[in-house]
Amino acid sequence: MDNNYEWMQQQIAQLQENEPAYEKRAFLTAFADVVAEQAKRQTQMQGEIDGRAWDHTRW
Amino acid sequence: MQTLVVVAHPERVQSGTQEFLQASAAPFKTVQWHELEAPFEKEAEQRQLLTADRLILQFPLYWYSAPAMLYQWLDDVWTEKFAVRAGNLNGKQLGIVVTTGVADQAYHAGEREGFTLDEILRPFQALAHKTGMTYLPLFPITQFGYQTDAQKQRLLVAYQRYLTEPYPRHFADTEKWFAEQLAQLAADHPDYQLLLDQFTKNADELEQLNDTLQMMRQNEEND
Repeated sequence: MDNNYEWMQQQIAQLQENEPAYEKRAFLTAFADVVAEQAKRQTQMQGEIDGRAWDHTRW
Repeated sequence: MQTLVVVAHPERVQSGTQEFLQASAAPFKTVQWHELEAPFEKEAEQRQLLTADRLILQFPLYWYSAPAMLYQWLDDVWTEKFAVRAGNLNGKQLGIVVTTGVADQAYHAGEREGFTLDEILRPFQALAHKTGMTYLPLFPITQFGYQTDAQKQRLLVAYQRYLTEPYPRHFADTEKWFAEQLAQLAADHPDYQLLLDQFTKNADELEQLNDTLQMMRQNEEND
């Protein structure tokens, strides 16, 4: 996984710890899910691009 | 986009779920909250319906249906002339938020309730069909009282998105929705701005990867 996704999750966790407002904590929980989804899609798409580029039947 | 939430709950005051949902919707200026109370003033109710692009009917499930007050409202306000012949609701969206004390997994063929909520609430889909509205996927809330704090937090945001996010839903729209909320939070907290910048950058990168992938797939098809 890209480092920036880990950095984001750390930032989110830190903000959440210091956030007194329930609604904002809730937002951060859901936001962490979306960031995880971004990371997953990034890995999947990059993997598919690499796979297609390295398809030996097409060399 | 303007959203009108029509709440039909005979015991509204005692409902912790409705309280939670109302507080979740409150920060959004584009969302109007309307709790039904008979008798209904037909013209005023109809005028309010006209202002909405997305209409949400929100109620607890009573005997596999909505509480009687919702049907009373439909009978009184959704006249054939208003809702069908004049085409006043045509092109709007209809969403259903239904709360139930029964667990999610019971609503399946072969399970305890035997039918899915989609099947049970089919008449509302017919209503949307008849009036030219786009029927949104259901938003069921089951066993609210038993949910953990993390589940409730996710429910809060999922509900806000159900009221305000474009439909049909694409991941790029979801990213945009979160970016908008972050931008508001960033106004009084610079740490949120850093997150927003990185989030936007990632979204752009994903879009580029997607474009590259589409191009590769296209090229392979053309080979």
